[in-house]
Amino acid sequence: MTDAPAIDVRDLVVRYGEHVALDGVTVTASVGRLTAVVGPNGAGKSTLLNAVMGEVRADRGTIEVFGASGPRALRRVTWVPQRGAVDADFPVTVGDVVRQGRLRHAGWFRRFSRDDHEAVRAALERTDIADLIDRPISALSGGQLQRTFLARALAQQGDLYLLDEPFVGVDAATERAIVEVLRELRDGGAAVVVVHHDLGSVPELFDDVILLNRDVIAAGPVSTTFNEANLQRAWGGRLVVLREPTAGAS
Amino acid sequence: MTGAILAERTLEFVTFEYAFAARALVASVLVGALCGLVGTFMVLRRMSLIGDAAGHATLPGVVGAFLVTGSKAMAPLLAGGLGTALLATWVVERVAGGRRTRPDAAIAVSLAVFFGLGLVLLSIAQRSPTAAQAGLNGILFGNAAGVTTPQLVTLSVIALTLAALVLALVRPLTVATFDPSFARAAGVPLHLVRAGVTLALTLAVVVSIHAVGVVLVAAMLITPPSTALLVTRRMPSALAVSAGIGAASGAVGAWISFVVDGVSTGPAMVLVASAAFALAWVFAADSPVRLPRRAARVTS
Repeated sequence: MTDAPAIDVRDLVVRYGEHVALDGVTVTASVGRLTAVVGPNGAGKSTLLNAVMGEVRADRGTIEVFGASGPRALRRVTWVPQRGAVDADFPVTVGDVVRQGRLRHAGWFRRFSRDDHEAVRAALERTDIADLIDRPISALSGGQLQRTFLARALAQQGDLYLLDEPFVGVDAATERAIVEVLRELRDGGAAVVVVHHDLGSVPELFDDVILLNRDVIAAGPVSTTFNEANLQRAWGGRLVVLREPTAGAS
Repeated sequence: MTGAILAERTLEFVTFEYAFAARALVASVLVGALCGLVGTFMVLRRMSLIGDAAGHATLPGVVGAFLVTGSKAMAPLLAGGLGTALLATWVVERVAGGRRTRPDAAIAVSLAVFFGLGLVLLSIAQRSPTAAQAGLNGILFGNAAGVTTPQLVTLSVIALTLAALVLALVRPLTVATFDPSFARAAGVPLHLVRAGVTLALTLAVVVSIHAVGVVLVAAMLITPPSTALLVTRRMPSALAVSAGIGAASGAVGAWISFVVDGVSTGPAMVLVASAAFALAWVFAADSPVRLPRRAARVTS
């Protein structure tokens, strides 16, 4: 697709007042890969994503997305917020939210084209919520709301998908559906970066992992990077790793 | 007041027997609709109290401008009110952004400082012989009957311009209000939108104070949208219902103020809007007050 990595962060420092949230983070995320960002609470996982999104200002360092920086870099980025980050009582329907994904395509004033309508319809069907199109988001379950945000992301048709804890509080069927969609996006050549909480499912779901604790503890393919030694370093030795008595959990 | 007098005054009001009553009606309706429209974005952004601070903070600007110019000319009073209201919202953002003071405390402190300063300036200004003429007496609680034709023209131009802008930009405004991070990635210039909403809000407050007064102007920004959000499920209907409730409150408030001696327009409008809110709160589909329902809400 492109030569530049999807995300190229160098020496990133973010401070909140006295508190250093990210301390010299250098990390990349590649196209065609599913990348998990994991780390203990307060490790700066969301801060890293927010810095890429331009939501928090970098005190030092550079952030490039597909080789571009600044607002231009965000053109190909699709953002799936944490469910709790938006007002679930906001007066919008599922269809309204998914149509937001076409904002960049349709512009601020123009009526939606046939392409726009088609992208919205396909996204709703892909996430299995076409029947909910007229339902207000205040009447959705957690899983349905997460699917709605994913559908909006699909309608946007970006090249880099950033998801902040998409699996928190969703039902098993939704989790499977989300994973399936993310894999399809990856196979289609997109980069997918997910802030993830459940360490147990990292090997099963992801290709690459970034272990973060204010600084990058380790980053690379899950098979070589996601091991007990690196996890212990990321959690400062406070992590208790429980093994299942029998091997071969699917 | 007897029923006969009430009927007679109502007849005078609806037949526009007096030009000042007609101006009061138009001003109140415009103010109600404008505040309902702009206030919807403010309430959804959880900025209600900022509107309250901005409303109170217009007082020192308006009175200060009167003291400096000595006239009731519209432009300097508007500019003064706009200046101090913007200054107050800036102070709130600076103080709350410092992380050592909570936003609610920052808003309360800012409101008190600016309103206190305004009251001091007002007591000085009221010693001036032209103060009553300039309509400064109505500035606290609103006196729509005192709205002059030039004031009404200014109000109309600003209200219609703001309303047109809000309606034209409803798509990016809605996305930016609902999910700022997503909006930024979708190319919405958030800084510009935030500055624009703050400016629109402050302008709405400033042009509204002659009709509603600085003390209660925030209620017209908060109550009609809150009512609309109880009974609507989509943004276009929320905006329409909110503007409609605001306009209706303005009309009924102007009528009450006309027929009942000594009642200011501001409190009358606000009480009507509050009554609408109370009704919606009791009868809304998910009201905490238990009433017999037509049908249960879908919650699967």
